[in-house]
Amino acid sequence: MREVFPEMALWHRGPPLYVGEVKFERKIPTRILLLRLLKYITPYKREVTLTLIAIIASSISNMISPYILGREIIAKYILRADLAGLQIVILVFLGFLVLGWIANMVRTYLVGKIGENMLFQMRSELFNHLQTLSFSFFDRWNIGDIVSRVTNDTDSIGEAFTEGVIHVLSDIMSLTLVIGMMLAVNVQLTLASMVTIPLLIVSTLIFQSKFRTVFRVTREKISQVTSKLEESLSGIREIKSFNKERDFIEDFQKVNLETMQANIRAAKIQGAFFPTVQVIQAIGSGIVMIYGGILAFNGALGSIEDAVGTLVTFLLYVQTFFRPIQELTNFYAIIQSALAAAERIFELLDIQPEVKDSENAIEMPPIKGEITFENVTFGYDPNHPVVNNISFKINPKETIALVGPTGAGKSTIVKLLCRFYDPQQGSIKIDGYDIRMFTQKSLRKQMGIILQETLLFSGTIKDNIRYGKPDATDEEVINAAKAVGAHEFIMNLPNGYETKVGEKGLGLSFGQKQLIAFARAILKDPAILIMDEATSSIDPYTDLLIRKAMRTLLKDRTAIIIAHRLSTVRDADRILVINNGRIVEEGSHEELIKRKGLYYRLYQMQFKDVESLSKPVIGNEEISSISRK
Amino acid sequence: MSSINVGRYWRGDMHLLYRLSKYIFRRWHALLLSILCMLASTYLQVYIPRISGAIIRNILEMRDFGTLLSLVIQSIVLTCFLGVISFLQRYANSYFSHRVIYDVRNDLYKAIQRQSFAFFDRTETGQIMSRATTDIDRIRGFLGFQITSLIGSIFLLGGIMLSMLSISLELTLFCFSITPLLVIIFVFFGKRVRDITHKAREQYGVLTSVLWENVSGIRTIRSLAAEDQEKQKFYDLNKSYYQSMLQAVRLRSIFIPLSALVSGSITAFIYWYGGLQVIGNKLTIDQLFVFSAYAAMLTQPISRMGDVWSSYQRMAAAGKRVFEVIDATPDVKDKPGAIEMPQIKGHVVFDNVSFGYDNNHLILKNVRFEVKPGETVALLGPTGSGKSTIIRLIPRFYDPTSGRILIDGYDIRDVKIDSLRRQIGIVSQEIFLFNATIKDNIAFGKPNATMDEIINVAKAAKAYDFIMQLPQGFNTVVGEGGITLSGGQRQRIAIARALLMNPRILILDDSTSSVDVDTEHEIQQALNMLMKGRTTFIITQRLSTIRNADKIIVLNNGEIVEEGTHESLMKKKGLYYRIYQSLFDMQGEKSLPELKEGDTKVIEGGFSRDGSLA
Ligand SMILES: Nc1ncnc2c1ncn2[C@@H]1O[C@H](COP(=O)(O)OP(=O)(O)OP(=O)(O)O)[C@@H](O)[C@H]1O
Ligand SMILES: Nc1ncnc2c1ncn2[C@@H]1O[C@H](COP(=O)(O)OP(=O)(O)OP(=O)(O)O)[C@@H](O)[C@H]1O
Ligand SMILES: [Mg+2]
Ligand SMILES: [Mg+2]
Repeated sequence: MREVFPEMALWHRGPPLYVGEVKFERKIPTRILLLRLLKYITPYKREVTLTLIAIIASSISNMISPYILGREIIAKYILRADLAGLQIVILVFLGFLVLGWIANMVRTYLVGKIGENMLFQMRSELFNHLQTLSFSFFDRWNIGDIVSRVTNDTDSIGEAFTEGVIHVLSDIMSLTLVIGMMLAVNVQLTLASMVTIPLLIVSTLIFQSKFRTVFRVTREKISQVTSKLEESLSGIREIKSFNKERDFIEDFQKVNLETMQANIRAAKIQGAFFPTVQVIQAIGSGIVMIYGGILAFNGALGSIEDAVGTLVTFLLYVQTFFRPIQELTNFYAIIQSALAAAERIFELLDIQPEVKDSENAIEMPPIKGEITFENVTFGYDPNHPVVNNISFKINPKETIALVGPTGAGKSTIVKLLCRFYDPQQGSIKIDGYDIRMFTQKSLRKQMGIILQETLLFSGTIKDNIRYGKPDATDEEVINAAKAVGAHEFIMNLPNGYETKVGEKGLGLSFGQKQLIAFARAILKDPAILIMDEATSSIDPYTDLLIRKAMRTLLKDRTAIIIAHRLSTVRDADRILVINNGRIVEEGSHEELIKRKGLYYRLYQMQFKDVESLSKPVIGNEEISSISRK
Repeated sequence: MSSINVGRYWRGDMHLLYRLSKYIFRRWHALLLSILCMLASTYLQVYIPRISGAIIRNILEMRDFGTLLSLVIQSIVLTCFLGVISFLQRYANSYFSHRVIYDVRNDLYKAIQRQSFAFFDRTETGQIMSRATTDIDRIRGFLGFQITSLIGSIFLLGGIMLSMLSISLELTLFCFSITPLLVIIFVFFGKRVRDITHKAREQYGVLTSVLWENVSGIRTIRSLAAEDQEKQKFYDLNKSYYQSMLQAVRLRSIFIPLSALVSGSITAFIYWYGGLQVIGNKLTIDQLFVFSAYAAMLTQPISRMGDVWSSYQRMAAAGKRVFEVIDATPDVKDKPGAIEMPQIKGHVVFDNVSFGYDNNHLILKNVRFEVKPGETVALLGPTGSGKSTIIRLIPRFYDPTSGRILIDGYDIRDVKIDSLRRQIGIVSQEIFLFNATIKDNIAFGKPNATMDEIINVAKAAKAYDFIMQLPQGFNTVVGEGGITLSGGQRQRIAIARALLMNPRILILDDSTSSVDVDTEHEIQQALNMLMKGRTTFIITQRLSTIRNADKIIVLNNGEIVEEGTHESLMKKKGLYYRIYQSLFDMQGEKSLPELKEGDTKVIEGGFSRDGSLA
């Protein structure tokens, strides 16, 4: 009798799932969370007002029917055999039902609408916010965690709004109305039925504190299950290579077991609360009946017909009175997890991007491509600089190579140029203007960047190539692929340019992915081209051909090339040798060879064996003569 | 949304129920207890309104305080009893469903771990995640409530009907003439709602995977300045999901209040018609009261049964997706009677091996070669020629389509997979590090390794120095996928991780591409020491490393085109020679090594002969 609407389960979105590390103790006070949530509803003032009216109307109709049934229908008409009156009062009863129905419809619709609007807003806001956050944010946060905030957390807020808040509101409404009606009907009986309230309060409080911990633990556990799962899926190839399946299974079974135990414990407490309330309710009804009986026998309730009518009304009211309390547990869980979700969402929204467009940032005009680093110092952790007081200048259309040991800071330098991070000291200029003057987007629009971590998206090869320029024609795509030497292997694939590649470009060899990424950058026809180990996994022969092609490709742009393969960097106009975040040498290939410094050593290392075979003597002259043979 | 291709025909709902029943029967006592309690509590629920009726009659007619008291006490005691029973029922039910789900989830996880690489090639991570979370939840939703609810509803319906009949035939007939209307409402709306929810779910799935891909590819997206495009994509998906949900809201707002209206109208009718009968003395007022209490209970089992049906349907779809994974046979698995691989000496033979990731497209064609114990083999060839594919076959990540691979004379399909992989260390081309400390990442394959061992392999992989320079040293957490390390640092951690396994066969797939020559050289020297007497496969684009190999295998288009030592291959003046020569072309086309007929095909780079560009 108390299940409100079991059909509700049809729209139930499932319990919130958490991925990644979750903090369960809330730091932000409930009041502030609620205030912030309220902001999402304020645009719907009209709807909210209507909803409140509908809630009141439906509560009144709910409250009035026991009264009509007991005091009117039974007492005044049936027991007094008033046939005509009965028909009229039944119509009145039906009238209230219809009123309740309409009110309920309006309420359900408006609440749903406001809720969905709110969620739509929230998801958009979160997503757009993510697009502004800097790399340093993504360095620290788990993907799973971020994704679950945008999806599961908004979901649980939606659920709490449509199923929790509204019910709580109607329940509070009903509760006040019930007490009012009871008092209006009979003060003594009302007081009698309130006798059990202290009992109710005490048991609710006891259960509530238990619920709190129990729900917290179950949420924690299920989030562990999800994050274990996510971790093992992203590392599945490593797990299998290292024979770790059994360990991971054991680990998983452990958290799975704990989840089950926590759930069963929760079920025990939740399962105990409902019958407890039921028993208290039975006691309440019992008291009403006994006391009512005594009153009736004494004639204190008027005629016997009135007495019976009053008693029936009261019995129904006691039921309505207890129902909200029984449902409290359900809503309690929902609302608690929604508050936790809200906190996680606001936490994400409150993160300020470290790199952001300045207030009066302008669109970057077409550039010539002159790049200047002036005393730039940067560390991912400001106490540990990775780039130390670096200054250099690149002329328009010049090709510069960065070489140096691994971890020297080469990738970091180009990341600074792209403004993925902002330096702690010094400034970076393009065509003489500090890059912080421009919007990030317009800055990167004129750059073609190939990152060291090659990543393709799921979709066709064609989609991938034109990712940075969605309006590119097929011809442009094919030309870009041809320019970097990817055309032929693409044509050999089962569906050519329409071949679908999976998550992270699965289904292509590593070198093939690098070629696609190269084509993707070239298609943008950038003024500045940055290649961070863009051809590291490409065989020497193809690489040679690409290098030849690059002479044409790089002719009209400024280029920064990072490579460990020194044959790749030889063609550069100038080479910067980076070590420990500093420029240690600078000059053309020939100059650096003559200098016999770090570059010379690296170079020798790479060609030592080769040269000893082809030309037994090692020396600069020899090397250059080989190269010019 | 793509589905997992398990290569196995799914035999419909009956099969699902059969699969599920195995899990259910394992916990039959909890289910039985829950059903019994459900029956008992239903009986009490049907019985208790009679006491209320008796109380009203008492007040109206007998006016006996003693009887009143005993009736009230009876009702309280019965309610207590009902309370205990319904507690037991809920508890047994939760216990049952969570136990079953525990088993299913474990089996699902085991099945995932059992799958071979090909499965993960074709299945999106998000797909598997949603099976293990949302879908499993749906099964639990069904088991946890609906089975007992169905039985209870039938019983309750019967009980209500009998009780109503015992009071008034006419009124009962009337009430049940309304029932079909209720059923129609539930069935009609239920279906509409299900359809729209299904659609919305699907849209939500797409939305989630777009989000997932956006976040994991955010660096690439930024560098291509493609945020606007992504925002638009997300906005569109978000909007269409929102519209579907709004449609569902509209349906819901008609549907949900309707059941209250229907049951309220029934009550109104009962009081009208019943009132007439009471006035005509055919019925007593307490009977009318009890009857209306029953009628009010009537919508409950009916709507619940509708609920069971829709929940069943959702469960069936979800269950299918879950058992699809659990029942999928891995492509690569131990064959019955597989033996332990004894300690590997390192004699590797590829005997006419052909392989394709999908059946109609061979990547490797008739590959045959032999590697003697202790040899270092270098694989060389244009990009996409199948080098990585060859080495993936050695630890049995995939099984060849035809031909066989022998290690020390054992066909690797005859030995246990874990005994094989335990002896093979592999550093793959795309490295994944776990979001854990450097120490844990190195010790991944051997969690009980001592710090000394870890330091030793870190030194051999030339990672020790940079690790010590990091603020937290070995305890530095590397970020998801190892993102906070430089490319070369990541590769060296992966090499250390493989070395710690003390492998009998070591496979390095282009694993020093981001390491400078100097460091690579040192790593190479350390490896020469460590891997003395053991077999090493190495793929690299650095010819200086290749040159030192005992055997060089040159691949092209999935076929071995040349094989031999550096000297013999140089003499042969074939593809190797030309690739090698290309290193020396530093300046211009004039010294580009001569290409032979057919070589342009060899170079998948796709340049025309004169190197000119389109
Ligand atoms: N996102 C990051 N967060 C924290 N530290 C980082 C991050 N990225 C790089 N580092 C550190 O900064 C230093 C320089 O890294 P960088 O990637 O610039 O090296 P690199 O010269 O490109 O090396 P490689 O040749 O191996 O790619 C390294 O010590 C690395 O550990
Ligand atoms: N998981 C996969 N599913 C389907 N096809 C694949 C898969 N992996 C690779 N391929 C295809 O198999 C062929 C050989 O790829 P493989 O990775 O073996 O090349 P590779 O020689 O290692 O190249 P690279 O030097 O670029 O790493 C390529 O054409 C590639 O597109
Ligand atoms: Mg780098
Ligand atoms: Mg490869």
